[in-house]
Amino acid sequence: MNRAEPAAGAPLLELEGVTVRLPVEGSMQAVLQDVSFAIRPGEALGLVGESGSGKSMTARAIDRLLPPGAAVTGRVRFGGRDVMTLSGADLKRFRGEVAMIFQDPRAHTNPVRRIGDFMTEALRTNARVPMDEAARRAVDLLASVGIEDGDRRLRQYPHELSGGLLQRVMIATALLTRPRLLLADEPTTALDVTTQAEVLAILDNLRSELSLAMLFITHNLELAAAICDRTVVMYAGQVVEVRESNRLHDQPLHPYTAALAAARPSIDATAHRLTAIPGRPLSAFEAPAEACAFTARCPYAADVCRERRPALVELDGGLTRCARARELFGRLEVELHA
Amino acid sequence: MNRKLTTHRVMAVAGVVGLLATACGGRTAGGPSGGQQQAVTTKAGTKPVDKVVWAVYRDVNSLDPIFAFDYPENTTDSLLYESLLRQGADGSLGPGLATLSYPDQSTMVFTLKPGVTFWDGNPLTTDDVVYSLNRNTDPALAGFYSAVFSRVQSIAATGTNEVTIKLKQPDYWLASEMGSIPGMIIEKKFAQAQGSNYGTPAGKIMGTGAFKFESWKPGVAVVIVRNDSYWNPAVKPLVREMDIKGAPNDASLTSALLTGGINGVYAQALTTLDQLKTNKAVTVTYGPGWYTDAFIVSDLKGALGDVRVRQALSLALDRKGLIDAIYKGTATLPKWISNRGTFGYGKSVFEAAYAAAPDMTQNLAKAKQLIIDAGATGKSITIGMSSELTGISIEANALKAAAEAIGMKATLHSVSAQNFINFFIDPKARVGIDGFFTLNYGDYAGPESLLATLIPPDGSQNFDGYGVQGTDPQAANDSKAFTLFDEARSTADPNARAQKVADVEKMIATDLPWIPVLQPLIVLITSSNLTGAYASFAYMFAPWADKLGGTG
Amino acid sequence: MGPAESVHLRFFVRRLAMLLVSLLVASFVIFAAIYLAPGNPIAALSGGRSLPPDSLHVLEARYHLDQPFIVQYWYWLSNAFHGNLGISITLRENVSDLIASRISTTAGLVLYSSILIIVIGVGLGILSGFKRGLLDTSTLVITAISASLPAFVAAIVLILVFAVQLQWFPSLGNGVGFIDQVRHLTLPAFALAVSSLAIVARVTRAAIREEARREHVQTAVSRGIPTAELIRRHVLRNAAIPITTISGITVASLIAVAAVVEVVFGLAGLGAYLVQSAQSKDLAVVQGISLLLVTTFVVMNVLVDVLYAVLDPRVSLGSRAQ
Ligand SMILES: Nc1ncnc2c1ncn2[C@@H]1O[C@H](COP(=O)(O)OP(=O)(O)OP(=O)(O)O)[C@@H](O)[C@H]1O
Ligand SMILES: [Mg+2]
Repeated sequence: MNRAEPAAGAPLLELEGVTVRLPVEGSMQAVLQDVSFAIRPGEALGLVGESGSGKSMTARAIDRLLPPGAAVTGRVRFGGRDVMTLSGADLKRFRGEVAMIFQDPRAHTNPVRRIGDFMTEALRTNARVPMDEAARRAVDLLASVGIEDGDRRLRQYPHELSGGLLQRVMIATALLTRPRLLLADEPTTALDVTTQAEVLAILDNLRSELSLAMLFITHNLELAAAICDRTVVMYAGQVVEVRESNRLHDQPLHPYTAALAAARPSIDATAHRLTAIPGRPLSAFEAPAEACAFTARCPYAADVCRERRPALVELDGGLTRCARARELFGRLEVELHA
Repeated sequence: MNRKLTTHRVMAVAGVVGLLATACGGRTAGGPSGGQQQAVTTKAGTKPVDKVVWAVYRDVNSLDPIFAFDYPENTTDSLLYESLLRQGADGSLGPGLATLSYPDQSTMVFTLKPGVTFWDGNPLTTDDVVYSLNRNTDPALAGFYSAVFSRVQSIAATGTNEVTIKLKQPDYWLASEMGSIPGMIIEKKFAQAQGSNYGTPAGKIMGTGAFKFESWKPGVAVVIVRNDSYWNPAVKPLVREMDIKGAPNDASLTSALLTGGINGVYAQALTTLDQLKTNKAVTVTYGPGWYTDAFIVSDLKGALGDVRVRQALSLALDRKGLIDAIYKGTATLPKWISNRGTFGYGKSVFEAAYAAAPDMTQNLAKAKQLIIDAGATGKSITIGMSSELTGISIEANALKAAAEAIGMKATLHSVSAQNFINFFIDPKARVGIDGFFTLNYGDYAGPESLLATLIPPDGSQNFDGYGVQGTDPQAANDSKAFTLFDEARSTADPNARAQKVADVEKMIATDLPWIPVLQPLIVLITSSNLTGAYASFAYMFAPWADKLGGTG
Repeated sequence: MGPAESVHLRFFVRRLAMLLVSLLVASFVIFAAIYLAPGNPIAALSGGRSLPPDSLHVLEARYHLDQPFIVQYWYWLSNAFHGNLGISITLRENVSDLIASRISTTAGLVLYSSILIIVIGVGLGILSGFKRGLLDTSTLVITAISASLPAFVAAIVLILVFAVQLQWFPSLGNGVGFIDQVRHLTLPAFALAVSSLAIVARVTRAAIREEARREHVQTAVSRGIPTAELIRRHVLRNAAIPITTISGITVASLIAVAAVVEVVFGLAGLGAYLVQSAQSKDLAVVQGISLLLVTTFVVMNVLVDVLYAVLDPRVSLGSRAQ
């Protein structure tokens, strides 16, 4: 696959110790704990983790789509600017530059508005692009996601399109405002296997063509590796590993990553994803404050793991949040595969 | 007859008494006292009033007098049409559009007053009179008053201003009827042009009254206006426009009276009377009623066939309780079937006989003894009623309590409010029923007008066959009442006639084919700045609003 | 276009057939019900006194009341087919004329109420749907009480407060001229609207809350659509579907409830007239009004269906009824 080289200089997006608390049954509970990572311009970053680990919440924190009542600490910077304090025209511009693609295209399109209306809405209302110009651009983009009869599609309603088609429309729509960063939250999970592959291919191609940066959220380690330059692995609302994608599978730094890899979810086995790790995944607010969150399920858990929460440390060009990382380096993949 | 003088004297007296009634009855919370004679009119109005909204208990159904058989139509027609003779507010009969003379006992000659005109300016002719009277008996029209003319042989013009009624038999009831609805005159030419539309919302009408018809929107109101070219210059109504409107229920009526949406009403058993009595926005006046609330015995073959049982029930009934419960005190205890207010002629005779009559007071001991004597202990009666009609229901329960208090049994047979009327018109509805309650009245101020429906064997309300062999076990005795009653009808002298009628009253107050319960007063409620309306039941038959106007 | 048009045509033809069947069945059932209720429409003319038997018989024969039920119904039906709805026994006038003169009152009342329901009910629902806090809480409490308030109770309360105490509005009758009629219809319209208004407000509030939570609204937020546009294009527009449905059904039901209000306020409307005619067994009038109400109800439902299909592209015409 053709992958954009990491650009030199400042990162496009930067998360620094982002902690998100939400009101749950009256008290504030953390769903993200000290999340930090960065995406360089044009870079595709994978975000992998079990269900409930906080992937979507991370994307929402970036795009300021958190549920009402959410309390955020830490910092999100986009193009050097603090996203949390944006307002007015700046916020609008930011939202034009960051586009989001959701897991369920059907739920994320207004069923009573035509595709054309849906696609061009942001252009027309925010960028004041005239209707016919916006429609022309939409048809062009539809063509580039493999939808040839764009004119007709624009007149259709979402329910008249298949899921795969609709997700392609979503992708085209996301690209319509010429964003610099794409937040793709499991864009293919809701689709059937063949469609998944098609949509992914389109996404990947376009991204490279337009040298877009992307945060690609998935359960699937292999998929992340296939699409992304680097991958962030999350567990219980915490980042547990950041690593070059191509080394993630063969040389994981964190036992959790290794477990994910061992569960070997392949592109065509979404149905039984990640069932192989024994034990129940923890929510961020269930994670012990003074221990590694993964101890309960970790085959390598030792006393040191239960003494305090390990910090994110550098190892072999990546980052890992494991107290025994050094000690286990190189052994994880072998043992789990045995 | 010097009608003018009489009227003026009556009005003068009535004015003073009316004032008293307003001062005492209208403002104090207590009800009117039953014993004293009530004023028949209220003090004449003095100020012109542009518009008055007058309520009737339901919408007017017809403006054709031959179909006027209930309060709304009577109230309206008596302002629009005039009858050949006229009943005063006190019930006395005098000249109306004509004067009456009897050349012989079987001939009635009506001499039309000169100068009478209809609203359209056409003079009243004998043709109009003959036509109007004959309409009553035209089978194709099916008017409600044909029975009134049962002794009439012919009606014909016998001069340019003279109409003669030839009778098969002397009939001194008919004169009074000619002072009531059946004697009302409409314009022949006009009515013929209207055809079957006459008196309907689609048609127009033509009368001679001091008010003339303006418009009628069903469900909204009948609008009548002062007839400025009224033939009698002595009468000038103060009210320019009167809207006669059905008031849907007590609550709506009350709030409208208090807010001026309605300016007057002749109310009946109004549940909100206490509230209105104490409110400054309205004046409540009591006057003599001509009606009677009674228990109609509809079957003499059952337990009620024995007169002692009827008497016992009458003695056991708590009439005072009913007067308070249903009429809030605005009714009087009866002595006779007929209301004292109906003594329109032979007044001294009636009053004397009435004064001598015993009160119908409760006496349980005597009642129990009568039941024992009659061997009726444990026997059962069935009372037709409707639990949806409050007054009827209260009465039925009171009678049941009375029966049970004297050792009898009583069952209530309840029907819906709408079906209550069936007891009166459908013999099948009366099967298994011993009797039911009614509020009843005749066409004019004369006790015979009500008695005529229940004493004759063919009387329209003689449901139990009272006095009839085969249906009445005591027919031999009871038929005496009818014989005497029939004699009275042919008796020329008013006092002699009154004596006979009084004797009949006395007989049936003992026989009790109907058991009188109470006799409601007229309850006239007007905006407090209005006065002058009749305060007697005469409003049903005679122009009651000629003097209605503003107080001042 | 062709197939869609024929689908629409089929929908309307089917609804028309349903209407005709409903009318026929309703006319028979109502006729039978009124017939079976013992009583006599002519006797109702006398208000409780006994009418002379002769007049009674003549009038009974005139209105075929002496005929067997099925013959009477046939007379009515065959006349109705020729556009003749018969004669009111009570008023001796054409039923169609009598009905026509009262349509405007009921239509005005229902229209006035509908406006109140839609403007106030939907308005209140939208406000409390978007704004939490005192307004929302008080709306919730007030609507909870008034939703279960029978129209006649509301009427009595309104009369007491606004007619008797404050004397702002009249409590009886129709009035003359436009302004006066509106004044006269104000309290009735509010009385009629109160409970429906509360229901519509609650449904609207719930619909707004529900639609505002939808994921596609998030999409719009993420695309930076301004709040006003967002509310208008994605929340209100979508909430309009359930709101329209409930409003349509509510307004259709007003026609039935109007009778109560008309009676209390002494309005010359169809509902009060229906009640009055049923009480006096004025058969032709009861039939005429009932059929008009059935027709109106069916037509209102068709309208709601059409509107529903127009508002929601996922719904095709007639699918609500299926
Ligand atoms: N509105 C909310 N209020 C409170 N807690 C929430 C809310 N939404 C999500 N959470 C919690 O936040 C945590 C993270 O949720 P998130 O949706 O980010 O998980 P995810 O990694 O995207 O999982 P999935 O793979 O299932 O999409 C979960 O424990 C979830 O229960
Ligand atoms: Mg998620």
